[in-house]
Amino acid sequence: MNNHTTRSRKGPAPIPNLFSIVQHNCFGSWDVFLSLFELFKEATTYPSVVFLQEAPVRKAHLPSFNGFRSFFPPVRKPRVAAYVHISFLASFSVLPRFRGVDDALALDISSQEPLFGTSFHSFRLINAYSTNTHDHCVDSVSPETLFLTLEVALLVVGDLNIHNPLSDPLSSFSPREIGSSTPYFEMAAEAGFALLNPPGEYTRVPLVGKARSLVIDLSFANPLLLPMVKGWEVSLPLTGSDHVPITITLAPPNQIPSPRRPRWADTDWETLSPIIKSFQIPPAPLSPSPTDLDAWLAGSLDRLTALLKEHTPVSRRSHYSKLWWSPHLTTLRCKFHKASRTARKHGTLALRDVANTSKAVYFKAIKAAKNKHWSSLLLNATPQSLWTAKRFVYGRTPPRFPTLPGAETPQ
Amino acid sequence: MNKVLLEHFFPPKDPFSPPPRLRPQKKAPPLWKEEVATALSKHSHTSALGPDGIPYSTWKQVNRISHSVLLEILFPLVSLGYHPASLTGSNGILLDKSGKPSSKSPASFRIIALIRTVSKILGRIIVPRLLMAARAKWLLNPNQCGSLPGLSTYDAVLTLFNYVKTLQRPRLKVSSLFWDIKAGFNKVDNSTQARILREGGIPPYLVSVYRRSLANGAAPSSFRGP
Repeated sequence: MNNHTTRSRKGPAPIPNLFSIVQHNCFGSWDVFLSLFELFKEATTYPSVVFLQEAPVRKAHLPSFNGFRSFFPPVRKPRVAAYVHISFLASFSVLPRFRGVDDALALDISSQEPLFGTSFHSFRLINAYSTNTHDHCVDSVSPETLFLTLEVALLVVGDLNIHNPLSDPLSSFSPREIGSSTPYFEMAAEAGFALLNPPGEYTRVPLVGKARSLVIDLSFANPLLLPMVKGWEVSLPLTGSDHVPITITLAPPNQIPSPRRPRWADTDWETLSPIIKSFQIPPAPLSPSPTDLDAWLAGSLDRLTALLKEHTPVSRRSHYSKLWWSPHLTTLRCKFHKASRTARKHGTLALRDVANTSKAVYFKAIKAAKNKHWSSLLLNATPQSLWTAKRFVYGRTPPRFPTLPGAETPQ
Repeated sequence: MNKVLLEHFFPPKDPFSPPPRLRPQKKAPPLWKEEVATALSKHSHTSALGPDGIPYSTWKQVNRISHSVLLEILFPLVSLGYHPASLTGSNGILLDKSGKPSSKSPASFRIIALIRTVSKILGRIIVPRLLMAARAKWLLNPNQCGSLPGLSTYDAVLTLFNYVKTLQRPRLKVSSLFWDIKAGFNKVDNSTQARILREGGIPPYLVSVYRRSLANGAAPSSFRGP
């Protein structure tokens, strides 16, 4: 399945639990391929996985690069490929999945240890290269192939050759372009996928001529993977292809809760006043070294700060805060309101479509988050919280005694 | 991106090494409780908090209850002419500048550094002393309006207007040339600045505190992603 040529290359290995995924359309060029992999030598670490579209092929084989193992569909001219770093292969089990097509592949990555500090033991990566066939009417990779509703974390990357204001809000597109791309975005929204591309960040920049720049190399993450997505950037230099290399970083989600804020307005000054009056700052050293003075100051301030915080209550979770809310919903809410405002301001059909799609995505995500939270509540119900769940389902019981006008007690 | 922002906002400078031992500066006057109270009164209750998380309202209340707490903490720093490293840390926040199209250029961002409140209080004590000394030694340009209390852009405009009118009166042709020095504040050479202050007769303890307050700071910065 791999290794046609070997080159001796050495470089820093990927960092465990910090996965870097690169996607790039190689334009069928060996030079682009080599330029891309040479770039990694300059970086601090090699990426864990490199997904290529239009990879160079010779005699049904793809080029190899030392330190990487390649996977590609077993066809005469594969159009997608995945290069996985050997240190990644040593730590994780990688199962390639081909469906007998030359333009899509999936990698199932699993580990005995939980991944990203979560309870997941596996996730899936899909790489696709979709082209228009039958006079721009049919796309070679259907949205149903990509946006699967799975109970595993899923990342979809690829050169999908679709044009939509959701990914490129500042460009104008023909109705046919919008019509052919809408099924992808609708299907992604149905399955709860989020587009990782920043809107308007071009991924294909024509090297010559007056062709327009495009956003066609897209990346989507499903709700399970989204908390682990730490970055999407086009920081790598150009490789000679008219597409720009994209780096996606996955890392454990930040699960450290932010410390509860002290409510300084409610500090108990009555209790604190006599303590502060008798508070003694230790005398500063007479001719100290800078380190000694620093230690004296830090110690004094720490003691004082601890004393102040001890007598200050901390903020509590608001009664109105939603337990099912997530940062992802905040992002979707921002996008929805921004799209709505723009549609109201300009009022074009394309912008209204964008606003409608953003709205659908936002409300579906809310519904999914609520359902997930409800399932989790029932699953982890304790004898105490079960009654809370029952109250949510049946509501509060009506008062037994009716309220009598003017009466202070039921008697 | 991080590298570009670091180079833009924090251009590399010569390392500054403090002396091995600090000696009390003989000419450093004592710190008065009125100075601390005035410094505190200039701070807003609603200012964003620095790494220590203590608001000015709390320090004001502490100072009302006991003047000695802040005096005992701050006076050794003034008399030794030293700004400790623990006070130079800050939280940096990058804010988008409105109307700037590219998010890749550092010029599209404005950085604010939220430093520890105690450090700001010390700054409010040192700056008036430095200003008074600089005025007494005639180190300030009479046309300077920026960073001086009581003067503003309005005064700068009036000064320029006055100059132009004065020169036009004897029928001279007058042209105004405006210079905008890009990232000027970031690239000031602190050692040259300290030398000018010393040569101008500013008390050494003030020069020392000022110089060290600008050295070896660390500002972990955060900004909103795409």
